Amino acid sequence: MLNEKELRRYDRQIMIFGKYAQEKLKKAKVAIVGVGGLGSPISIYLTAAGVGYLFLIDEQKPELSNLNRQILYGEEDLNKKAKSVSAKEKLKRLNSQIKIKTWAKRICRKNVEDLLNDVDIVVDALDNFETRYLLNEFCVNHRKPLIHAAVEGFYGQITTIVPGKTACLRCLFPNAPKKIKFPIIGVTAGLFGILEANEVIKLITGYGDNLRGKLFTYDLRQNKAECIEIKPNPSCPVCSESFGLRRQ
Amino acid sequence: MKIKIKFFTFFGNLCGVDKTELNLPQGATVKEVLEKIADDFPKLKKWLPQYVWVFIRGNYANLRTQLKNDDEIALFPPIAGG
Repeated sequence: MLNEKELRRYDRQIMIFGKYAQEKLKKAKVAIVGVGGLGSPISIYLTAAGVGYLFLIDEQKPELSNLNRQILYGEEDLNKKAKSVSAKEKLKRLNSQIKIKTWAKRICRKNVEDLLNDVDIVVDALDNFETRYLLNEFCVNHRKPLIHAAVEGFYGQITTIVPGKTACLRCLFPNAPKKIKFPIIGVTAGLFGILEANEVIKLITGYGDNLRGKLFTYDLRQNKAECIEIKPNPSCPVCSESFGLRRQ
Repeated sequence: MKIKIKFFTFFGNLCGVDKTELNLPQGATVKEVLEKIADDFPKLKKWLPQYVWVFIRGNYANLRTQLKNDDEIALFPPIAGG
């Protein structure tokens, strides 16, 4: 149930999708893995929208070169607390009513199940495919939706992975690019972080069309959007079993 | 056979076009397509054939995948930043 203050606070979005959808947001639990360029806008907008529980995972401390895009942090945060911890402080000032949990250590094969077991949706806001594959495997095995995005320069891509229904990350990208320093302008991370938050909100409320089964890309330099249909790989080593009899 | 190629994200900028068409022998593979594209668009040479994601009809394709007439290939540079 929403109290009087919540009804007022979320009035403008309740006008769009109704009180029942807002209650679903309040009950939802979302993990945001990486609180950097993508994770900053994701966490800001999900906090603002009233998602009831956010789990922020990031062990790194903000560095000077992060500040062109990681908008949750300022000069006073450099090399002090882990991003997840620092982000929580900022987000609680935006919305004191939501619960925010943090994990300021690495997520790895040994701890991923314990960390993510009780969330409803996992959001990939990472900067490397090694950890993305780990999230992908966990989400496929536990049937949890995974929102994937990646950015570079003025370009980005995003898809919503629903295990058992769509291609997983390994179907789409069986080979990982090497982790290198990547060029990025803040607006690209901003846009795609917002698109990820948008996917979370639509999944939770059931409102609108989401990007399941589609890979959406946008070129901010030339203002070009593309969206391609993507299909599961029947031989995928990660998800092919999850389709069971559905696979021909 | 005729193959359509679509360049995504900054591949389009490097090539100067968003799409192109190739005429190839029957049974040509993705590897042969990428080699031809690298010849036609030298700015893509450093990416092809290793650093590219290839989709055909919505499915990821590897270098050995054989193509059919009128196939549409989507070429993406792999991006990983966040």
